[in-house]
Amino acid sequence: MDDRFLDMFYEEARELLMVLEEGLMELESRQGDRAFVDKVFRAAHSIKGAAAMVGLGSIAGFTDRIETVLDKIRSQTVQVDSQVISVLLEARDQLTAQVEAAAGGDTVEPSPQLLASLDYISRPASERVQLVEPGTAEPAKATQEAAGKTPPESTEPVRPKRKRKPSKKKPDADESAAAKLTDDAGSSDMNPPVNPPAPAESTGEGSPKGFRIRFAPGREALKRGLNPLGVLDELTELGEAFLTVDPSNVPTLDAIDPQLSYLAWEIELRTDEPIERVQDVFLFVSGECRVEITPLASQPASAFDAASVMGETPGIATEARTRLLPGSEPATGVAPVKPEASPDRPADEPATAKPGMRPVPSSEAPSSSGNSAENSRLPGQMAGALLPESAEALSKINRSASSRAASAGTAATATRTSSATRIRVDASQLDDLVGLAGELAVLADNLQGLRDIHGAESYRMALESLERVCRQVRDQSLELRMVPVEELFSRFPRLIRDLADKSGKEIQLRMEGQETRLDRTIVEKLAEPMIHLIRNSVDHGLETPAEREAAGKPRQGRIVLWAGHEGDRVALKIEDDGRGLNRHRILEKGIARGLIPANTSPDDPRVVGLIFEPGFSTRDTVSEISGRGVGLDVVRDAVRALRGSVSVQSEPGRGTCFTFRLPLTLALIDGLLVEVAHEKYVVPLSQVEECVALGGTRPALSSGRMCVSVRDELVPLVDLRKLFEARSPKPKRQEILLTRHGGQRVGVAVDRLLGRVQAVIQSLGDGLSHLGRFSGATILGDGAVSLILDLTAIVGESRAAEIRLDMAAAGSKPEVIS
Amino acid sequence: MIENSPISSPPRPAGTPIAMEHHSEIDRAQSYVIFQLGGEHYALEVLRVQEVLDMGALTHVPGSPNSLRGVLNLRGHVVPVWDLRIPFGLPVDSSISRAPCVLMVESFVGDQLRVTGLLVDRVSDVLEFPNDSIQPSPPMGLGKASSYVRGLIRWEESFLLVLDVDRVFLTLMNIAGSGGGF
Repeated sequence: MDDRFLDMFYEEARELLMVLEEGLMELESRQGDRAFVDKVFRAAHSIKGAAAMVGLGSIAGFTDRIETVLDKIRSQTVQVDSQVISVLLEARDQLTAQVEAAAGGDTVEPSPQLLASLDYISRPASERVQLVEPGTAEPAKATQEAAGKTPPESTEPVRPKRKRKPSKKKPDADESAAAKLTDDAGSSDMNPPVNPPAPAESTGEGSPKGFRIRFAPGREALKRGLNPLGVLDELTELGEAFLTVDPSNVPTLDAIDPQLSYLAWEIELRTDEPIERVQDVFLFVSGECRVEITPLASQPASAFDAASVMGETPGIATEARTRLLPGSEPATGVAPVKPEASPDRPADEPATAKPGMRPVPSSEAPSSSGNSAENSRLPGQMAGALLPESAEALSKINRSASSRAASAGTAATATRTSSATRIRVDASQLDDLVGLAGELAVLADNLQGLRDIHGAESYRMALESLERVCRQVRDQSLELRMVPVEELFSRFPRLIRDLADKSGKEIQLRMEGQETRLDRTIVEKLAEPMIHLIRNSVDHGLETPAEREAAGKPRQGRIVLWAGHEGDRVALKIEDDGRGLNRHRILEKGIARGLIPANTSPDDPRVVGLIFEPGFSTRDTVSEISGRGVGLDVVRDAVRALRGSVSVQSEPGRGTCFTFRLPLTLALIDGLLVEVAHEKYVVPLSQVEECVALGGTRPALSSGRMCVSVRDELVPLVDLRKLFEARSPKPKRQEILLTRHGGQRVGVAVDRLLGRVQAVIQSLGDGLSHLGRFSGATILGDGAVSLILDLTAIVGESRAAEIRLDMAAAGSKPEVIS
Repeated sequence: MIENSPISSPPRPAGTPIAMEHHSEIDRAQSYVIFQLGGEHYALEVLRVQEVLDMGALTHVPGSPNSLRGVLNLRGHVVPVWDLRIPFGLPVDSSISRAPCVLMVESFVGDQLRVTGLLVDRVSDVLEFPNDSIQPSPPMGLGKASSYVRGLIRWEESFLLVLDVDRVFLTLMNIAGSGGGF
């Protein structure tokens, strides 16, 4: 599977896990405030959806357990108390462990205790039994357990290393677990845990490692769409690569068939990535190509998987990650080269290379890890009755509060160390940077005007360099933000295939306009809403093949994802040819919930919009694919947060189409600076087809409407002076910007053209967002604020005004019409 | 979360989260920016005011409500400036003889900090008052302004009107949203 999706998932999941944790904490301190319940629920729901999409079923499954509890909290079957929160936080930590383990290509299963606890708390409080346990806890052990319990180490099938008395502690009902957590977190920040970090952390060493890769594409590879350069590029991204090309198979010139592939490559790749990562590069090519991967320097198996190492400190984690992953010694058997330096390796590390095997982590390690010890008592403990079991698990949770804090830190640590090639940056900082870069470019532009001033010749060179650099800075920083929609879309084929499998429906996916570029923030934030909608389409929209045939439709349902520009907005569509929305059902539910007047007609356009209301679901059953009435309100909120909109059209039996319309939230536009009544405005150049001087053309009236004749074509004219109610006298000569509106050419008259500008769009703020005629404002080189005109909206607006006038005129003289 | 800011703290730089005013009972006193508007003296918590600017060049926004005087460039950010006289029902001198001031006021929309300019006649002082000195405002007698006043403070020979600035914003947004009115 393409690692990009997985990486995206891990990034998202880490964020969501943070949200989940924060939300749970807040939930506790705010005694089940509905807003936080929803927040937490959404986070869990999103993790579930995303995990299912990338094929991490066990994570999705476990999250579903959490969601079940949260759902009961939502429906108020379960009251929030500190016990519940403790279990949920523990579950959240487990989830973090699962995610981080998965990031390292490993799996972790939730402990049966935890599952039991989740079951336990999902009962109403009245059914729960408050257990009073004798406090046999040995403080030292508890601490050890807490400190050593870095989640991923609960990884492997448990192999008890040593016997350990189960230590129990009374669940502290009075004291909130959250408070404990904070305390413990605080203290563990200050002082290192009693235990040294689990041995995993100390196994790092810094010898260079990597792989020697021989890559020989098959003769037909190019015809099958393989792009060897792409593969090589991808390898290069993994680390430092030394490429040698082997041209020995290239025939003489007259024998060359340009469609065949003759070359082979030998790559010496120095990288810290695990071999799986390298293998993944060849995932889609190995069928027809010869690929040999041999480690450059093999390392005696250290017992840990990179990502299963959860550093207490970033430094340690980084170090741990630099280890070469052992195993997968290829059959070609290049002898492992002795590591050049491994000063940090503890002497007692088992030096048992296990070629061809997955490394066996944690529990095999000479680990004093509290966790494996803790898990080791599982089998015995599991014999116990459910309730004591759960209570026991609960007490464990209280003890491991500090491990929770540690693992909270872990998520961040892992994020920091997960990839050397990508840095996650605060989007607002990026915004600021792009804005500044844009202004810099504008300033440099302005300085260019000074070149002609007498005496400034000597600065000419410097000014030109300045401008060039400014433009580069601006372009580079803009490039940081813009990505093709493909990055968003490319994850959906897999999703849809999986959904099709699950639902037994046959689905054909078409994607269009993937090259449309969008702000990265938007692309990132749109993933979830789109997943929601696609799930909905599959689950609710498309019929089963049998139903479709009965309805006279092709067996295969179709989903179309479309992206493109609509004016200066970007539109994304998700269209299916399924059964369409059930207006009657929606209406019924809307009336029942008091969202719409009782006598509304099903054809009322407001009806379909109801599906975006919170908690609005016409499905009463819970399905794995889509939800329990969360979803569409989340979608709407997410799109609104991007200052976009979502709408839905649906025709019974024909299908449903969701349309996102998104602004170019932050984009530098090429614009024309124009003047109208002594104010300067910026017009996006993309909206202007041509400029003509009005002096050369005669204004004319055509059926009562102002028109101009441009090269013998009569073009309707919109006068901005009129629209803006300008009082200053009209200049003798005006300029006309020709734009296209609904397929027709329309002229917009302005007083003067001042030149071209680059403009950074800024929002006008909430209070003015209804003013469609301005898509924003920008700051000109001289510091003045200039409004950005949206010609499409302006033409639309003046049309509407004309229609109103016409109607008023018609109303005053009805006899003329009839 | 609670910012026990010292009295007479300088205006915070943009982007600093402001403490929720509801916790103000923890502090026993508050500092207020005193400004004049249509002959009355108003008080606004100093914590809400980012800075005070002299009225500079504004860019007019054609088609906007009359109470929007325009937008200005505040260190690279486009900030709307509203004229309080209009929602307060005060006469607007079109000839700006006295140079008015712009109060840059912070508010949160969701979790986003917004800065909005409010045009007032004059900013005169920053004064500190104990919290219990705020009296409830009379329901009548203040005209249109009364809905934006959340209390009175006895000061010298008269009263200061304590501005409920969030309500002002609410009204301004509603005016703007309905696309007409003022």
